[in-house]
Amino acid sequence: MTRKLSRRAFLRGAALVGAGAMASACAAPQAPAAPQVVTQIVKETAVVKETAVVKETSVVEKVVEKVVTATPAPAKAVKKVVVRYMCPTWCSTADTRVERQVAFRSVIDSFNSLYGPKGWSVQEIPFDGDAVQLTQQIEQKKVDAIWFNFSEYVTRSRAKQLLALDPVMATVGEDVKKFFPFVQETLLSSDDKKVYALWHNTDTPLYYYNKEKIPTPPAKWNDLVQMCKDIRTKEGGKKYGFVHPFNGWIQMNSGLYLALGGEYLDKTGKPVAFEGKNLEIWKEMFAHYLGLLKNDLVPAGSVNQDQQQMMPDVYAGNVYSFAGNSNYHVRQLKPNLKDAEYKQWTAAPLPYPDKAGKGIYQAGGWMIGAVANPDPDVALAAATWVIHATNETSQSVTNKAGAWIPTRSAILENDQFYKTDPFMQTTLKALQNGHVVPLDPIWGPMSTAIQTALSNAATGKKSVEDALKEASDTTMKEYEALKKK
Amino acid sequence: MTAALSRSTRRLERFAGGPWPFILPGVLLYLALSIYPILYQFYLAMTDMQVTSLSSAQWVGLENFAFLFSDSRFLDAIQFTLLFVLITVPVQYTIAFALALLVDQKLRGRIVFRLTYILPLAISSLIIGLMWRLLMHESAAGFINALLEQLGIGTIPFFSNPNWARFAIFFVNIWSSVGSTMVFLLGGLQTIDVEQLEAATVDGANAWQRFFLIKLPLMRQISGLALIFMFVGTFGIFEKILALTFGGPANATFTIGFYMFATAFGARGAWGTTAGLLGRAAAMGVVMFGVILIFVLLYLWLVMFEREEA
Amino acid sequence: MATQTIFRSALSGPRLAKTANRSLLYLIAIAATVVFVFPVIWLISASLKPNVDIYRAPLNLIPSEVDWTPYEKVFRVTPIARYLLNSFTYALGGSAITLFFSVLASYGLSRHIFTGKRTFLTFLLIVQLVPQLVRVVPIYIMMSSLGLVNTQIGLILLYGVGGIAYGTWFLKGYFDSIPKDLDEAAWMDGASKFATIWRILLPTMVPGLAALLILQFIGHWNDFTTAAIMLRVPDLRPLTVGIYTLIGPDETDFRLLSTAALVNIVPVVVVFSFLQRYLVAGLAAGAVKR
Repeated sequence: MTRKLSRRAFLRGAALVGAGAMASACAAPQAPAAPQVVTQIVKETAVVKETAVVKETSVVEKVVEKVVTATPAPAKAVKKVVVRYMCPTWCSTADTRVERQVAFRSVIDSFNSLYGPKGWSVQEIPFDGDAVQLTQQIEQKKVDAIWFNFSEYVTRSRAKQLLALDPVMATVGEDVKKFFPFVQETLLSSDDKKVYALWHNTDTPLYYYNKEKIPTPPAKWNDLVQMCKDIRTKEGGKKYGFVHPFNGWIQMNSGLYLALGGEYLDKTGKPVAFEGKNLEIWKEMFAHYLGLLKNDLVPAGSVNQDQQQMMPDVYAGNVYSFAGNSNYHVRQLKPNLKDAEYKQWTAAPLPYPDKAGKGIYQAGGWMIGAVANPDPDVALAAATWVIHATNETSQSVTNKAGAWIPTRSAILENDQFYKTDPFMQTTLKALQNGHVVPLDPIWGPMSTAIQTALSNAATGKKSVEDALKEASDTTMKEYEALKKK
Repeated sequence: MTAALSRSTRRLERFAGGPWPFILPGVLLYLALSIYPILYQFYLAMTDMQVTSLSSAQWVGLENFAFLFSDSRFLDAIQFTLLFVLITVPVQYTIAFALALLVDQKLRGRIVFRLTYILPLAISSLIIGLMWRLLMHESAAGFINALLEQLGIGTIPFFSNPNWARFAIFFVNIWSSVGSTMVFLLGGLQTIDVEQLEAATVDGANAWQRFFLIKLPLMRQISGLALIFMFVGTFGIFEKILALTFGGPANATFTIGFYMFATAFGARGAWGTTAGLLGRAAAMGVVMFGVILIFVLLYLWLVMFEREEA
Repeated sequence: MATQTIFRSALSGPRLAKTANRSLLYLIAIAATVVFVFPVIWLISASLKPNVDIYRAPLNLIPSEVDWTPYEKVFRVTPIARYLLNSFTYALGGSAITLFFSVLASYGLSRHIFTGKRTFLTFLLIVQLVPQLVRVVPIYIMMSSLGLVNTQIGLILLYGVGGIAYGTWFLKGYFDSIPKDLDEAAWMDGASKFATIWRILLPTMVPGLAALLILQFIGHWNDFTTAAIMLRVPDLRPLTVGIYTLIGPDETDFRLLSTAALVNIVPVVVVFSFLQRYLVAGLAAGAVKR
C-alpha cells in the first residue's frame, strides 16, 4: 500500500460485503438508540463476518452509519465531551505504517459515530511514549484517557491516576472474565481489586530461526549451544547460529529464572532475588550467556546491543536465529529481507535451561485506561472509550495491524487469522506459559541492576560474584529509598 | 567649539541614566534563565523532587549526595568524565593548531580546506553521533569494519569493548569540535605581525624555530582562551554518547552529564533506568558544575598570575 | 665541477626541501579533508542504496542501483515538513531575541564606563562557558511551573536568552572598534541613542552581526537536549528530536534515518558554505579584539 486509503474507498470496495452485513443488521430488532443495543449489533456483525482488516473496518462503519441514522435526533442540546486520549505515536493514526494508521483511525471513527449523538468524541494526542511525560500530563489534567505499559498498572492505580472501570463495565455488559487468565490476574491485582484499565494487546519474546539452516529448532539450552557450535565449525567466518541482545536481556529471561525455581520478591514485597539459591540461579544463567560470548558462539557486538541493534547481522544473512519480540516477523524481517529469504524464517518458543521442566516467558503488552476525573460526564465518556477501544472488534482490527496478540479469549476462538497464522499460533503457545513481571515499583531498579551485572560480567569489568553483589546492594538501596516515600 | 563638544559628551553620558537601560534588560533576562537555574539547582539537590510530584518535594538535606558518592556507577562516571576531558582537550588543541597552521600557509585551495574542517560545526551533535554509529557499526553494515577486513586488519569492537567504546567517543568528539578551535586559533595566527616573522627568517630561523619561538608565545592568550573554552565545553557532551554507546558497555562511557539526564528524564531505551528522580539528578548537576567551577577558577588564577607577572 | 654544483644546488637544500614540504602539506590537508567530509558522503550513499545493499555491501560507496524510496518516503510518511518548519521557527526566533538584547547590552558596555566593568566583562566571559547540560534539570522544573513546557514560545525564549551573554561579549568588540566620534556626530545632529545605533553603528558591523546570526541560528537548528526536554508533542518537535524518535523502540531503518539526517544537514551546510567566510572573518576578528 503506497497511499493512505480513504474511507470512501473502503466503503465502495466492500459494498457487497457491506450489503450482506446490512441485511443481517436489518434483521436485528430496531431497538431505541441506547448505547448497549448498538454495541451488541456491532459485535454480532464482527463475529459473523470474519474478513480481512479492510473489510471489517468498512463493515463496522457501515453498520454504525446505519444505526446512527435510524435513531431520531435528540431534541435537547447535548453537552459536548471530548475525550483527550494520549497514546504513543507508534499506536496512533500518526504512525508511519499505513496499516496502523487505518486500524487506529477506524476505532476512533467508530466511537465518534456511535457516541456522537451523546456529544462525545475522541481527540487523539500522539506523543513520544515517555512514561514520565505521561504522568506529568495526567497531573496537569491535560488528558482523559491514556495508553500505557502494563508494568505501570499498579503504580498508576496506586497513585490515583486511573479511574475504576467496574461500574461502567457492568452497565455495558463488559466483564474482566472475558480476558485471558493472566490478564485477569493482573487487572485484579490493584490494591482494592478494582479494574483500573483494560489490557489491549500482549506479546512475548520468541525464538526466530531460519529453517533452511536450522531444520529442528533447539528446545533447550544445551541443544542451542550444540547447534551454535556446529554452525561455527561448519561455516565459521562471520556466520553465527544465534544472537541474543544483552541490552534488554531481562525481557527474554525473566521467565526462565522463574522456571528454574527463582523468586523475585517475598510476600512482603522485599527483593529476595540475590539471596541463597536465587543467587545461584543467576550465576548459572549468567554462565550460559557468558559462555556463548567467550566461546565465540554469538557475535561479539551483541554485548552492547539491544533487540534492534543486533538485527543488521541477521539482515546481512550472517546469523541464523535470534531472540526477538513476537511481532518481529512483520516488523523487522519482512521489510528488510528479500521475499524468498523472508519465507525461510519461522518461530518457536525460546529454548529453556535444561534443569527447568519447561520454559516460562514474559508476557508484555499495553493497556488503555481512563484518567480519574471529578467530572462525571467526562469520566463516563472516557471509561466508555476505554471499553470501546479494547472490545473485540477494536482489538481484532488493531492487533492485526500491529502483529500483536489480543487479550480476549473470544477473538482467538472466533478469528480465522489467529487460528491459522503460524506466528500467532507459536506466540499463543508460548503465552500459555506466560508470566507477568512483578508490578511493584522496585521491579524497575531491580531489573536494571541485574542487567548491569550481566553487562559488567560480560565485558570482564567485574567477576560474576562481584557484579551480582553490586546488583544486590543497589537494589536494596533503592528499595530502602522507595520505602521511605 | 571644544567646550561645546565636551558638554555634549557629558550629556551623552548622562542621557537616560547611562548604560543601564541598555544593559539591564538583557542581563536581567539572562540572570533569570541562565544564572538562576544554576543556583536553584543547589536547592533542588537537597530535595527528593520527582517528575511525578513537582509540587510536593520534601527537603532531604545531603541524602542525595550520600547516595551518589556511595554509588559506584556515579564514581565511575566522574572518573570517565575527567579522563575524557583531560585526554581529548590537549589532543584537540594540538590538532586544531596544526590545522590552523596548515590553513595559514599559502596553499592553493585553502579556502576549501578550511571549509571542510569546520563542516562538522554545521551538523547537529545527535546526527554526528548517529553518523559515526552507522560507520562504526559492528555488524555487517559497518563501513569501517568492512574496510578493515578488506585490508586484512580485522574488525574493531567499537561498541562492545569498553576501551574501544571510549576511544570512539573521544574520536567523534574531537572530530566534531576541532574545527571551532581551529578557527579561533587561526584568528590569532593571522594577527601575528608578518614583519616579525620575516625578520626572523632573514636572521636564519627555520620553520620550527619560527613556530616555537615566535608564534607560540604570541598565541598564549588566545590559546588560554581556547583551552578553557574546550575544557568547559567538553563537559556538555551528551547527544554523542546517546547516539553512539548509550553509556555502555557496562557503563564504561557514562559521563556525569549522561547519568544526570538519564536519572532525570530517562534516556529512552535505557532498560528500566529509574527515571524522574529530579532531586538526585540535580545533585549530579551540582557536582558537574562544581568540577567545571574548579577548572574555571584555575584558569582565572592562572590569568591573574600572568597579568601580575607582565 | 660546475655541473656538480648546479646539480647539488638544484636537488639539495632549501628548494627540494621546499617542494617536498609543500607536497607533504598538501597531502596532509587533503587527507584531513577526506576525514571530515567522508561521513556525509557515506550518509548520502547509504540513503540511496537499496535496503539489501546496506547490510551486504557496505563498502560500495556508489549504490548498485539508486533507490529513491527513502526520499519519497521520508516526506510522505514522517511529518518532516512540519519538523523543518518548527526548526526554522525556533532557530530564527531565538536568534532574533539574542541579537536584539545583545546589541543593546554590548552597546551599553562599549560606550560607557562604570565601576566594576572589568569584573563584569570577565564574569560575562566565564558564565557563557558553562554548557547548557548543567542547567537542564532546573530549567525543566522552572519552565514547568511557568507552564511553558510544550509551548513554542517557551523554547524560543530559552534559546534567545541563552545566547545573550555570548552575543554581548561577541559584539562588544565590534562596537569598541567604532570610534565614539561617530556617536557624538550623530548626537550633535539630534539623533537619539537608538537611532544612532540603528542607522549609523549597526551598518558598519554587518559582518559581526552576520557571524553572530549564523552561529546562533545553526546552534539552535542543531540543538537536541533543550528541545527534547521542553517539547514532547510530535507537532512541536524540531527536526533533531524528530530524527531521534525515528530510532525509537520500533525499528532502525538505516536508510530512512540517513535520509532524515541529510534533510537536517544539507540546508544548513549549503547556507553555511556560502556564508562561512563572514563567520570566519567575524570569529577571527573577534578573537583579535580581546
